[in-house]
Amino acid sequence: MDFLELEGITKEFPSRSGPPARVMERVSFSVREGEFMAVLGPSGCGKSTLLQMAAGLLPPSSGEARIGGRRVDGPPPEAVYVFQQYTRSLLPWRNVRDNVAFAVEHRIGRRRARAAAEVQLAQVGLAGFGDHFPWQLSGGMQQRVAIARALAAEPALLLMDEPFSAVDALTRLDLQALILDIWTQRKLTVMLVTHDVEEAIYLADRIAMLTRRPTTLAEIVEVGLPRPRDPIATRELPRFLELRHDLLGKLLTRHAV
Amino acid sequence: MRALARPSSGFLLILALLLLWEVSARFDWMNSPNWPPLSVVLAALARDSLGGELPLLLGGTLWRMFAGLLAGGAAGVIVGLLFASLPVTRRLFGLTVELIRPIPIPAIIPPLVLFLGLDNTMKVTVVGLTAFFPVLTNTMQGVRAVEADALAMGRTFGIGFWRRSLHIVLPACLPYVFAGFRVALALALVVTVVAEMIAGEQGVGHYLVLMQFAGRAPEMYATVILLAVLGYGLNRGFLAFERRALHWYFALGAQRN
Ligand SMILES: Nc1ncnc2c1ncn2[C@@H]1O[C@H](COP(=O)(O)OP(=O)(O)OP(=O)(O)O)[C@@H](O)[C@H]1O
Ligand SMILES: [Mg+2]
Repeated sequence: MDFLELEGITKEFPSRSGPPARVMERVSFSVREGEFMAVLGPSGCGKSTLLQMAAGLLPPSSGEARIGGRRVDGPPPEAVYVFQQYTRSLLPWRNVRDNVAFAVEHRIGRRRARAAAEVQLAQVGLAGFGDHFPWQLSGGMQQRVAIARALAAEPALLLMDEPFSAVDALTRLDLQALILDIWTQRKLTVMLVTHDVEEAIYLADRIAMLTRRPTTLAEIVEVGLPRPRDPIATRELPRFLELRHDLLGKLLTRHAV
Repeated sequence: MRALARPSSGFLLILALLLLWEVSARFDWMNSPNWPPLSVVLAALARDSLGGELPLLLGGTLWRMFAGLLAGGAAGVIVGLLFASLPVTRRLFGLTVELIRPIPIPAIIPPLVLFLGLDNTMKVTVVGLTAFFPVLTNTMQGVRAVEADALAMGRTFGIGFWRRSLHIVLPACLPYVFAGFRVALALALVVTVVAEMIAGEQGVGHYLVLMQFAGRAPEMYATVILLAVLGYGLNRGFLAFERRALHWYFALGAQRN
């Protein structure tokens, strides 16, 4: 069953001179319940914009997003958006525990929120780091905090905007494994934006490919790799290599046009 | 710390100037009865302080200054937050504020006396107005510097406008608010003393004028010295308080350098 539906989404930004700039043109696709969907596209094509419209953080100019059949106008309780740059979305004046608790303390009160935060921190491998401040942690650990905070809200849908683009390659593998674990355990629906072809193939069930601006949906690719996936073995499967060859080629030619 | 333990060249210069004061007065280089030696001034300062008169006056002055500073500063923060986050309020009240701002504060003391009298109410109001503007300007600047991602983070977790203002916007612009208060603090001391000199029979400012009329030069200089030390101490105290309250901000700054 479709959980997140994007239907005819068009986005224009007002420009100072002349007509509004059309960034995105009638993009439609759906993400099934429990599915891991990756969105792949060249830089600046509007991936973040699309994800923000799905999260109810930005209204589309026309078309609509639906989550669980209900039209999105404003952030829905089922969905949580994870930001591209964790340094900007973590609050430096709160320690790690209180950063995570922030996601729910307005609903369940500070004491219970802190208890919940400890549980989530343990889940992302940060047990015992509650008293640290975000700026005392490495980039990868900060992104784990951001993930723990998202999980604390117990979302059904996780919208992730290039969550691993700012960390080193090894940490990225770690975090990818963490996200796959969480996705499997909690039966989440995930839409993850990336410009990293291998990351998209390794993580996703399907990949939505976007074109350059004005952005449309180019195609949807079935990944069809077996699960559970292995960070080394999966990347050596013929199907993985074939997909990588295909998608990279498509991205590069679209860039060249 | 080291600067206190070992006399720096700046400290030596002050010692030299004080020595020059003493010597010039002893040998009557100024040729004036109103230039008493430093030692006589310090003796007067000790006498008035131990007699309890000066501390009492100083307490009143400080009370008025802090009452005005806190009231005006709090108003500055609240109006600044409103102006910056609800454009309607700025359109409505912005012009009024801009028209009041350039009035030299001492100029409003005479008319205010007519309405509020000579005593505390008038003085606290004047100091409040003084503190209001620098805090307002800095707060508005601070709100503009709040990370958009931090605000969107609040929205994605379903946190409402007021709670976002209190828990994201306010702490994030606190470094700016503090900068505003630092300016306001210096101005507040000046304006409190000026108001006491112009109107009423309260505080250190009035005492200063009284001693001048009475031709008691040592007491007059003693008061000036006291105010200098007070201003310096207030600023140092404020900086120490700021470092504690904004420990995260200073830690972040240290990390960037
Ligand atoms: N508020 C805005 N006003 C005007 N134009 C905007 C605004 N936000 C985004 N854009 C434009 O929309 C386009 C898409 O931006 P977006 O950040 O969604 O791209 P992206 O695919 O996420 O890029 P990246 O890979 O660099 O993260 C960009 O060309 C950008 O200039
Ligand atoms: Mg982006």
